[in-house]
Amino acid sequence: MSSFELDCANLSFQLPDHVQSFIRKFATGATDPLMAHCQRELFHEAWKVLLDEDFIHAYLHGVIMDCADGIRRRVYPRIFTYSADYPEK
Amino acid sequence: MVYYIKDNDFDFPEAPPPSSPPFEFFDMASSPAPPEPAVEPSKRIRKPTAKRRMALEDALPEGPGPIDARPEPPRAVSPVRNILLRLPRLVRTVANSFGVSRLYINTPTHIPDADIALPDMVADHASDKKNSQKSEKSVLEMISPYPNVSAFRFGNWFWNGSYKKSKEERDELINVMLGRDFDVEDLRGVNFNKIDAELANDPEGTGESDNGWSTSTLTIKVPVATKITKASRRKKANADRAAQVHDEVDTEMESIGGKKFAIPGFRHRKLMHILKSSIEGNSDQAKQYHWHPFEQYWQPPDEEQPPEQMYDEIYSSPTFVKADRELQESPRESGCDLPRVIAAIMLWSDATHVAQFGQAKLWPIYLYLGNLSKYARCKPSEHTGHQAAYLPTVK
Repeated sequence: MSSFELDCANLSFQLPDHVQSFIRKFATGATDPLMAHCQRELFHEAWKVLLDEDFIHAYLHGVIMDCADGIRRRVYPRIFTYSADYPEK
Repeated sequence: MVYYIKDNDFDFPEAPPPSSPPFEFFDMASSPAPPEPAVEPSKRIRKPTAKRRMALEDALPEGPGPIDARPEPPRAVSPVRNILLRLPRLVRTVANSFGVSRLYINTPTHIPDADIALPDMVADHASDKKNSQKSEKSVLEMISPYPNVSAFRFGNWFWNGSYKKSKEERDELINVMLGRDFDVEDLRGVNFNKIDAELANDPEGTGESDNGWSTSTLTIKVPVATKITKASRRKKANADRAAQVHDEVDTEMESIGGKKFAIPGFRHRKLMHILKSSIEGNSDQAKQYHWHPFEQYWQPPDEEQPPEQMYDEIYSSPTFVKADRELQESPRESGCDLPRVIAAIMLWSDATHVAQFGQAKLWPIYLYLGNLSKYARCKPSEHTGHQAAYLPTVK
């Protein structure tokens, strides 16, 4: 149960519509800084979704879990590292 | 384990004399054998010192020692700390044969690697262990949502292989139908359309609903080149009022200085679902989680020397120790006496090209638990990474 392998099987992932054509309707064009800005906004929006209510509640109050070693504990998630280059390019 | 001694302060008997050049190439077929290099008679062959001989003897890895029964002297704390009612009760493990001991802040509920067997520390053991622990599921669980093996074999033939009728496919079908575990009667009344729909809704193929996955639409604000002036503000206020009157909201006009742009198809998984499934699971891996951080010290053989602190895992890092201390010092949830522990989340994401040509790109976010030793966590064969999300990109 614990190991969900890193397989990318059957992901119904779709690339979004071109944001450039959307931008061209309003602005002079999709410049690099503007695109970087959009990507950053998107990244933060994604994390707003990921850090949902359940997670925040667990962060503050913990979640009771029956660990595999047979001991029941109150587990508090904490983010220690985030190794990433954010999709700015 | 093999020790390589790079130092050259003792000479092996077969070492070439210092007069010969470092590299020589001989064409063995055409040229006669090179003359034996003359060994300088004055060169004394030294025996390795006792220290060197000791280093060559192999030392097997081992876990930490048991908890020391003698009370650990309380640490000198600053005067402010003394106000705290609950002083940490330090617990030290007995140093193992490498002189390594751990200092736990409180008595740990469980030390996962204390009674670890030697084979679990040997690198190439992991693959056999993996295979032996694999098939814990029953056959019916594995082929879910197919109701029986015959239906699964038939469905498997239908979906895999070529999509055209061919002689090979015919032979394949004959093989399926003549298989020992195939019974035509089992196919009676099986609704294959329903099974196909269930499979399509279960991308992980685990048979248990959505596994925490869901899809969202992200909305970002794209800045546009309209200056925020008094006129534009007035125009927006008028538009808002008009929208209220007509009871409609024009999303494009919702804000000045940024047009909303929706990006559909953000696939993500509930973080708590990942944590729960990986912590509560009954796998060998879940039993190896370190829930209590510790400081690790190495006592040099010379007892006069002070011990040195060792940093090797997340759970022996000062950050984890500090985070745990803050958690233990925080007020408890009312009516809960359970031990409180930290699940150390380590995130990782990077672009992944999914095709050899073209722009198809995925931006996965993976989640690892730092409570697992890095020696297991970093092994691809251990499958310790969990997919958390797939970021869309706006290009």
